[in-house]
Amino acid sequence: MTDFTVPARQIPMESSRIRIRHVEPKDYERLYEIERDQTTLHTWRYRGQFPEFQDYEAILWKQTRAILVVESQKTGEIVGYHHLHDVVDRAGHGWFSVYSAPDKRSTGLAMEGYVLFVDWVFGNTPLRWIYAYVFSHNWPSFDSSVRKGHILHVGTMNERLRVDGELTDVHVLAASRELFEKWPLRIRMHKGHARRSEQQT
Amino acid sequence: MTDQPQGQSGWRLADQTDLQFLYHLAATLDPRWWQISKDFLSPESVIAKVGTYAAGAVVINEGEPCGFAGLRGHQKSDVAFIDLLALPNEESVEAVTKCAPQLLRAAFEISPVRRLLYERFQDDPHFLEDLGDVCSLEYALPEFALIDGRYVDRLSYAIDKAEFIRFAADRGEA
Repeated sequence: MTDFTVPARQIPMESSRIRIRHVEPKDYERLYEIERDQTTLHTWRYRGQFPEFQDYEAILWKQTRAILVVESQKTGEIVGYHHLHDVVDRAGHGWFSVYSAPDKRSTGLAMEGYVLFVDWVFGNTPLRWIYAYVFSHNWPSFDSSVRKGHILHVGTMNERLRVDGELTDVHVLAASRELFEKWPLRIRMHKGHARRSEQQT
Repeated sequence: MTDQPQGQSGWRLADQTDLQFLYHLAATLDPRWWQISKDFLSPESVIAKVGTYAAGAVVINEGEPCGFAGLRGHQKSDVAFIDLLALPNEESVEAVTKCAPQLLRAAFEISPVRRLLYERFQDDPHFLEDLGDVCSLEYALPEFALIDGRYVDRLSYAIDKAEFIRFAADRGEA
């Protein structure tokens, strides 16, 4: 039997700068804008052929279990989104992708959302592991999480895809429920959350 | 691809008449033929998923089918996956291992890819072990699936076309 030791967290989930919530149809235009960026166009999903907006919703949800958008607390603007896809129930694993708005890269906002996203995944689904492919040019965003042991770097696919005609390495990352339960950041976050809940009641 | 008998084992292109054997192979190995088994096994899923392979070959030993090689991937990609499977007995594993270099060569010949990717569970037979560094481990997904009561890693390898051709030439197989 699965041991749900991570307490379920309710959407929206918040940190100091951002909050995450489930995507709604009104958000599609913004997600479309974020995904139209050159570095996203070359992912497995589009392979250089980005859809027209009228076809976008169906493609967005293909093989998808959840889409959580990351909003700025300050402006309410969507600064990125997290995508849980290719879940295999038999194995208890899935894949995730992190998208950051082009003008919000290097701000750390999408990665702040990543912590909440992982918290949501392991608190609300029976998945044991989630894996991700990360292009070399996006690696700096994950480097710190790997160094802190929040996520494992389990290998690299050398020269796997062409981005703007250049062969690019793709890193493979893995995050587990077990590893996540030990994150000091997660423990601090949950203590803060519990404190806020107590104050509200 | 053509029949290439080699001693008592060889291979031929797969066709519709092999579906019964392919279901038997998937059922015997379940869930190790991951492309077929990941969403649970049924005759329909075998037919549907085998149909997604770009090409397939059945490995024969002593006149009987004993294994399968399948090429799959996206048309617009310049890499493809090769799946190699054998019935779980020594003779079948040996037959597929023996045919594997020929199957790789055939895959590179019929497909315009620069690289083949090969995946196996950590405790599966390694049909490409003889290739040494030419078949290089790129990543391992930890505790990927529950098999026989324990979680096993999924290993992913890459075989570069140019390196494979050099390797085959060195061994006099070009």
